[in-house]
Amino acid sequence: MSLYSGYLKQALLYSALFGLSVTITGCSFSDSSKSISDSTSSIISSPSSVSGKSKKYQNEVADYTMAYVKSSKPEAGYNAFLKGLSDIAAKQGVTNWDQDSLTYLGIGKGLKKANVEGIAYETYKKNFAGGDAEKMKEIQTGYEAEE
Amino acid sequence: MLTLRFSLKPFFIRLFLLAIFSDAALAASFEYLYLEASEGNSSGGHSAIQFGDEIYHYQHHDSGLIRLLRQDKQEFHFLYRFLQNRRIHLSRIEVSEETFNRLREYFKWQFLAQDQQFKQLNDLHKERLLLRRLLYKPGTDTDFSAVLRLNGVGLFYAEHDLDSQKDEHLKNIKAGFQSSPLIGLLRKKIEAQYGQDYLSKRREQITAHIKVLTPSHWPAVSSVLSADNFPPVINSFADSYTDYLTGLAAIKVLVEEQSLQSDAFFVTRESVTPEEKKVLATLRDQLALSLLKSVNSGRPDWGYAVLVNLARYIAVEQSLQSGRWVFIDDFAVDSEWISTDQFVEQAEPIQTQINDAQDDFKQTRKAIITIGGLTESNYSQLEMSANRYFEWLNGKQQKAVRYQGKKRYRLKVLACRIGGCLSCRRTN
Repeated sequence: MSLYSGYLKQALLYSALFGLSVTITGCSFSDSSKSISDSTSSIISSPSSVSGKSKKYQNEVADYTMAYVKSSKPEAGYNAFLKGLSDIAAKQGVTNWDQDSLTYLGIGKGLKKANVEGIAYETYKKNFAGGDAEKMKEIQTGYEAEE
Repeated sequence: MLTLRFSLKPFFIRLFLLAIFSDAALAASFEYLYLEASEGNSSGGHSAIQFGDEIYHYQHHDSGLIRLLRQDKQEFHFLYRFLQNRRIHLSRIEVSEETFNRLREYFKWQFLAQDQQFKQLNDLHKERLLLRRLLYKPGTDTDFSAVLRLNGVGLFYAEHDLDSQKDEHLKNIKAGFQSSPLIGLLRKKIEAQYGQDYLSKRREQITAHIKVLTPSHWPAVSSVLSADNFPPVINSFADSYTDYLTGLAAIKVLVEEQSLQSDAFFVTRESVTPEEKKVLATLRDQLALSLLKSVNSGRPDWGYAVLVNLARYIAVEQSLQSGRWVFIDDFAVDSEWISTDQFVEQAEPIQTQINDAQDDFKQTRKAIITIGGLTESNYSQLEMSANRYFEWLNGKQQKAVRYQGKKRYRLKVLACRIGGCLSCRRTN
């Protein structure tokens, strides 16, 4: 009996330690807090890189494509989708998004994120690219890169 | 009977040490922001959550709703720290990569879904106004012209320039003074590519499409949002109509060789260096190619793309000819303003903004030489930073200053006035 009671105490102690370690791995409030009050201090910490902006644009297109695909059917009209792309591109100051390969890479990524495959994927790919072979290739590249 | 002794002690000690000392376990962090109270509507303080460069926070919306907003870090700080002069307390919270991703994804999808819902609401409002106008044609409808706008048309036309009731004689005189040889050149390139009568055929096509446009079908959707129930994207009747009208305006600019409006661009005192001239010349040629593609594009807002390409082409060509940087004015019609009094009262923080804007403009100029060329995206960054910097400098000349942060707006909208818009009427 005493052997089991000793073992039980050990188990309880190490369970508590285990619980504590899990809590620690979950989150930590570090002491890196600060106050920013000085309105005279610079707001621009560092200019965004071109590649950073490109990646952000691609990801926004991917998210938008994923959301669109989840809320519509492959044979639906695409004008609304294209207008939405215009809005996303306009935020980045891009007007000729339909001539930018980043747009189609992002669309490909979005289709993969939405788990679209088979005939539905081929339909979306063709329609989003307007039947353009080069753009379809770019969508395919984005799709495969997301795997 | 054999008794196996199994000790858990080494296992838990190793796990505990791993938890304490492992950097990989807490590989990411997000920030919690608390903004101190201000006056009036801000007297309760405010809070936000930041993931990288994006900040999410909830705001009370005019209609009584609480809406999730997403802002760029710099825009957020400018709005609250600078314009509202509020102290921000920032706490960094370290979490695992998985926790960080789950949190960020949750906020992102909630924001995107709500944004889509509000867009639908706005689109329904525009739809209702347009249908009411077409059915009843009231004499004046200020709501209509404030809501239904033609993106990019304001670059070439002032508010009443497209009024078909205006005296034709007067219009012709004005047109004579505003003819742009550059637009004429570009029109010839289009005709060489697609045929002499391409633009007139395109105009007939658009007119025919407008006459058979029908109101959109708005499906009933569940108001409960989830990852698999995102609000549908709908191309509304109003959007289609304004896109067609913008296309007609773009054709009109090309056919009449219309010049840019005087307030659509600004000439700076900054000289274009020889290296910059080389990249600008390449960009100019790229813009001409983009224009050829956009005029024949299948996208519904091709007219807007044509207008922007035309405007930027003119600005770039003028920069090359004059040797001074010329940019399109990209401030939105409804930009926020900082008055001359505010400019004087907040001289020190504003000087910081001017210094920031100047640095940004200089660095962006350097970058276009370093990366060896100008794409539309990085020219757009240069255009935006130039707009910001030179607008701040206007304040030093006792003028009110516009501010729009880093958010891009559609360039120069024009209010759509049915009956006055390009003489295109529905017959039924």
